[in-house]
Amino acid sequence: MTGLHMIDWKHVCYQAGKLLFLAAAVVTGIVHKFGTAWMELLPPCLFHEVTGMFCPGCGGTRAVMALAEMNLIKSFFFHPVVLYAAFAYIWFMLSCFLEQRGRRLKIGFPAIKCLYIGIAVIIVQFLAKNICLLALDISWL
Amino acid sequence: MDNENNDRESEIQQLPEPQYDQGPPPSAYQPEPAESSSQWLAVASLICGIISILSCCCWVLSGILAVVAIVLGIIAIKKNTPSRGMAIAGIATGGTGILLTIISIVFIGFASIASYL
Repeated sequence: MTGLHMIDWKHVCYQAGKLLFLAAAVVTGIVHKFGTAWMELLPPCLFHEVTGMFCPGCGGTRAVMALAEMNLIKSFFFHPVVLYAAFAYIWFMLSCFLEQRGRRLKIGFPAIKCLYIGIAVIIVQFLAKNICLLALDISWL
Repeated sequence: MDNENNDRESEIQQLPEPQYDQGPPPSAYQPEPAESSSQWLAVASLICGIISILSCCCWVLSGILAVVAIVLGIIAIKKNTPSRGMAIAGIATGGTGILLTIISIVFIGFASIASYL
């Protein structure tokens, strides 16, 4: 048994989740302090610049900013997977917390199912945004 | 003959009953098996790979996540995870993320040079 085989990787994911919480807190602080004007500094989406269509990640940054402002509906319309990931994150962290504390209430977390649903959400929103843009000439973003 | 038969029967009766390994007694707590733990590596690798592709515009974040996806995927494969396919997908998405990051950096570099000229 080497060192890698001894590691409980679910626990590692839980610890990484705690770091992610800190990062989310920093982003929320920045958004509340400086607003979202600094987003103009970000480079444009290469896929959108070249093809004129939305890439699967288009709207993601705006969705994160809307979530930091606690505007859930706006966040969902910018990129639904951000809101979905936030709920999945809360579910995962809660399940790990209860498991670690040895509470009787164990809610579990179907990681692989959640991952496949997330991929499906990304594909559906990508198709929906581009169908609206190309066929109906409606831009979501 | 009868004596021989009687002896055999008595030998058979004296043989101890076979002991089957029935495993540990059932308990409420079931520790997580090692295979299940390594599945988390493959899942984490694929998640990092997908996010690295989606965030290819933010090349710093994308590059870091792509490297993390590849490293986690390689560790998962080395651990002979049951989710080997998912680990390979994590490495593939991480590789794609790195490629998109490089293209993005080159594109931004050319665009900024062109704006100066």
